[in-house]
Amino acid sequence: MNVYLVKHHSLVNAIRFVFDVLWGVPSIVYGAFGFILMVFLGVRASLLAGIITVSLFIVPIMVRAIDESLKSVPRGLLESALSLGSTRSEISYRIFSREAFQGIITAILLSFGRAIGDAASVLFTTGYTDRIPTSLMEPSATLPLSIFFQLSSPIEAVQDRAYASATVLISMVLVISLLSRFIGNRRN
Amino acid sequence: METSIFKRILAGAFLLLPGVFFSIQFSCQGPQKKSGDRPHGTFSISGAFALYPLTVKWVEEFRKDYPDIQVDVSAGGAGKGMADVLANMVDLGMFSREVTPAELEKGAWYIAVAKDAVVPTLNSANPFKEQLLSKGLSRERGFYFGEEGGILNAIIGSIYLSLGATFLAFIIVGPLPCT
Repeated sequence: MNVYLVKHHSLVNAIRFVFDVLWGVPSIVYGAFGFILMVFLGVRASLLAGIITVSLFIVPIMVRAIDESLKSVPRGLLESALSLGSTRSEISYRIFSREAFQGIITAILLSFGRAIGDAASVLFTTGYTDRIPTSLMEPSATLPLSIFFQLSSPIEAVQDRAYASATVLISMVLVISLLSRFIGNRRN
Repeated sequence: METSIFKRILAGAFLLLPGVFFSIQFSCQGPQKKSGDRPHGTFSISGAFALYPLTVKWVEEFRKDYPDIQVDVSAGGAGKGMADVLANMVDLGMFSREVTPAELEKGAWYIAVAKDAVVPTLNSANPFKEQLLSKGLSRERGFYFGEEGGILNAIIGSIYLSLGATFLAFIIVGPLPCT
C-alpha cells in the first residue's frame, strides 16, 4: 500500500476504505461470523476458534494503524532508494519497516489491547471453562466473559471474582496503552 | 446423541419449581391508572431461560387486556434474574432453582408458576459414558468435572487468546501496509 501500490491511489484508497469499514463493524458480528464458520466446519468452541475470530476482528485495526505509521515515512526516502537501485521489497522490509518500526510495535500493542478486552467476539467461539487450556482445541475462559458470567451470579463471593477480573483486565489494558504511548512518544 | 437411562430417574428426582420473584417495589414507572380509564406504564422481567418462552406467551396475553402497559422480557439465566431483582434492576425475576435462605433474607419473595424437569442427555461418544452408566447419577452424587477456582484460568486464557490472535493477524496482514 505504501511501496508497491504507491502510484495506484484509487486502489489504495479503496483498500483503506474497506479496512475502515471493517474497523467499524461491531465485534458481535465477527463473533456471529466465527460461530457460523464453526458450525459449517464442525468445530466446537475452542481457543483456536476464538483466536481465528479475534484475529479477524483486529486485522483492520492492525492494518490501518501500521498504514498510518508508514504514511509518516518521507516520500523522498522511497525516491532516493529507488534511484540508488533498491528493489521494492528491499525498500519495504529494510527501509520502511525499520523507519516505522516503533509505529508497527504500537499498532501491535493496540491490537493486542483490543483483543484482550473484547467480549462479544469470543462469546460464541471460545466457550468457557474453569480449567486452564492445555491445547488449542480446548475451550478457554477469558477475562471479559469471566466478568459477564460471574457478575450475573447472586452469590457475593462469585461477584467478587468478577470485580477482580475487571481490575486485572483494566490493569492489563492500562499497561498496554501506556507502553504503546511510550513507544509512540519515543518515535516522535 | 442418545438420551441416557437417567432420564426416568431424574425426570422425577430433579423436578423443579421455577418461581417468579417479585421485587419489593414496582419501578417508578409501574402500572398506574391513567387520568382517563386504562392503566398504563412499563415493567421489566429478566431471568431463567427455562421460563422465558412461557413468560413471552403470558405477556402476549397480558397485552391483549392491557395494551398501554409495556412489558420488557429478557432471558439471562436464573442467577441474573435473582441478581437483577434483588438489586431492583427489574420488577420481576424468573427463577428456576431453589431459593437459598440468604436470598430469602435479602427480601426475595416467590411464587411457583410452572413445573419443569431437567433431563440429562448423554453423548454416545462421551469418554465418561461407561463410568456414568455404571455409577448412575443422582442429585446427591452428581458428576462434577473441573474445579471452580479463582480467575487465573481467565487471565491465562485471555493472554493465550490475545497473543495468538495478534500473532495470527500480524502474520496474515502485517506485510500488507508495507507493500
